[in-house]
Amino acid sequence: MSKRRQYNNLSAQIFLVHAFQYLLTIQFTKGCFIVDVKFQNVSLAYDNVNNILNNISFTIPEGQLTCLLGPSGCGKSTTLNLISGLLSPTGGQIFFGDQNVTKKDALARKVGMVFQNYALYPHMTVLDNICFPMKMAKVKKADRLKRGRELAALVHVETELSKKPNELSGGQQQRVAIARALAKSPSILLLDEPLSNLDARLRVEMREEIRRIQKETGVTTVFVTHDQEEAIHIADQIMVLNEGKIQQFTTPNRLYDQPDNLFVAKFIGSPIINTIPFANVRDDFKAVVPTRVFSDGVTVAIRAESIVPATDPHDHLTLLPLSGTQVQSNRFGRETSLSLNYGGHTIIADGFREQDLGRNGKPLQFALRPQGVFVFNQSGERVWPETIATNVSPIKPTEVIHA
Amino acid sequence: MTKKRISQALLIIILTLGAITMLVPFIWMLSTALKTAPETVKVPPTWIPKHMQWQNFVTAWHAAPFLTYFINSLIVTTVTTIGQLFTTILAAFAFSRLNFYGKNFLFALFLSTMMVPGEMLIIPNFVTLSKFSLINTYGALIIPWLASFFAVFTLRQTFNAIPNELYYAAKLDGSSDWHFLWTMMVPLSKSAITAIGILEVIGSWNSFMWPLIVTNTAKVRTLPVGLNAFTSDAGTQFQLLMAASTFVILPMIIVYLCLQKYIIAGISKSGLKG
Ligand SMILES: Nc1ncnc2c1ncn2[C@@H]1O[C@H](COP(=O)(O)OP(=O)(O)O)[C@@H](O)[C@H]1O
Ligand SMILES: [Mg+2]
Repeated sequence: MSKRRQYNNLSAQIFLVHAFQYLLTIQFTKGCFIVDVKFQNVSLAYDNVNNILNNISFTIPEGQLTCLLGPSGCGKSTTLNLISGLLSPTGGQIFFGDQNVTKKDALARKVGMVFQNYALYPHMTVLDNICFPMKMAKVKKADRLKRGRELAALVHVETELSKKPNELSGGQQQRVAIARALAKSPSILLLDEPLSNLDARLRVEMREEIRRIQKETGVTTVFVTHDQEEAIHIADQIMVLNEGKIQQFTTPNRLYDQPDNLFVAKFIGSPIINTIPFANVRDDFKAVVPTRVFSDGVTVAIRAESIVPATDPHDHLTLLPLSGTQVQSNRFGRETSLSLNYGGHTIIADGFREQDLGRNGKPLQFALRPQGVFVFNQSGERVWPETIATNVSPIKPTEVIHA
Repeated sequence: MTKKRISQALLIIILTLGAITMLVPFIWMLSTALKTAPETVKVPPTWIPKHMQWQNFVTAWHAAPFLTYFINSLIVTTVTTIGQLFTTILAAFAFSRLNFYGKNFLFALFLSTMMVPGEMLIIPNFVTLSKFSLINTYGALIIPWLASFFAVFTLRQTFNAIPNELYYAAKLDGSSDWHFLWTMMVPLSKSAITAIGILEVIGSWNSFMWPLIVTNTAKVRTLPVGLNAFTSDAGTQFQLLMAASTFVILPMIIVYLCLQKYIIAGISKSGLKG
């Protein structure tokens, strides 16, 4: 009898969870058309002379979270403003789904946007802020207040509704800004460095929140950041931008494992990847790289965790035994950081344990793992290892969450 | 410690002197208003009248059509202030947020007009108004003051301090420029707008020269011009003039005292003086 009841309870719970997810999907996708965003040869010059963005084409897949990642001033906000319609391209076309929106203004594109400084209306209460887009769209008062409350609950600010923005913490303001952006049931949600005004701990918390909200609503989301770690943790796929060009557009792990060029290799990962002029160490690599790479290679890049002790009992797949000189070693809590002199350069290794270390100034044997070692040519393109799978379009992550 | 004391004492002395300098004319006005005619010109002057002449106020009020003047002042000040605020808000928004051909040139041109002394504008303005047959009408008293670049400049500074993102956010949310201006910019700049308004109220209420020049009948004259009634070829009746002055400036003193925090805020924010 009691077993039976438990079983019933369980199935009731499962049912409720499903029903809730279903309702959420209905609730927040109602009225919005989840679309992909396509750029076709888009260029932009603020002064009609110098292209900030140069003939770029990409497709941001629907229903996922895509990061625009790149250093300050590389054109991330510009790209975002082109998507939102606050800027018009100097050349090229922009599509939302099948619809050409190049000539449409910001309002007609129905995008929700969250700005770095949140841009909440300071003289309005939290609820009025969230309801403002609906008020503009002439949604009936009762309806918009109801939906405003639902959105506030979604982002967990339902207890702050009558406060003014300056009475909220940074994280709460952020949540309100997201709720407001979702209020018009946007076809696309755009976030421009939304976490950069928060402290480190809150940043991690809000990053998970944004991830959760995106999954619950299923809205196509573009998230701009200059922080590679943030991008890797939050994104389904990342578009790395530099100097107005797309460097690589793929999933976070692929970006890390198979950087297309030296810029991406250096930009992704912490500590920054070790780089050594290939000429200095060419002979060490003779045995593993093809002849073409042997002559074309200009820079070799090695991730810190790919440098391991020569006698690592756990790693039978070491690529190359090498030798260098130990310069210095430091322990920071659970991390050890070892500086090695190799090929006339000081490189950092963090795959060593304390007992594997030698003495400073003495030669040290080490080995390279097969992953995380790359050779780039004169123009910075990766020539080795060659791409394992063809990389035409970003791989879509599994649809588990939508199912 | 003593150094701090001394500097504090000095500060208090300076502020006190400043306050006295500001107050003396008012006290003198009040004191004169309560004197008899002979006492006003007595040497050495007295600060406290021997016999308080309260009836001076009544006499002064009836010496000229002050009720009409009062109503005229009220109309002119109200319309001028509202009109000026309206043009100021629109112009400040245009200079702060919109992009149009010749914006910077126009702004520089307007800025340069601030260097032209007001007295120089009297004759051209008079000629213009007389060509439009507006002399001796409310129009003459109001129209020239419907725009003030000083006010535009002040408000533009305030508008500029409002982040651009707010403008973009409102645009994305479906707000037009017009709607954004009146529901965001204006409420957010409340204190600056109040300050500009008060300065204009005081300026307009107290203005003397211009109304004197462009009016010639009691029908459209304002209070400060009415004060002329006590000056004639035979001399000036100081006690009546001062009594009338008292009730002319009284409303402004009340306005100032009630709203002084906005005036100070407005002036210190714009970094300009009126
Ligand atoms: N309104 C503008 N007018 C002129 N140049 C601009 C404007 N906005 C940005 N830029 C320039 O465009 C480049 C890209 O800017 P932005 O897209 O804001 O970079 P990011 O967001 O990646 O830091 C920068 O060199 C910047 O100076
Ligand atoms: Mg930016």
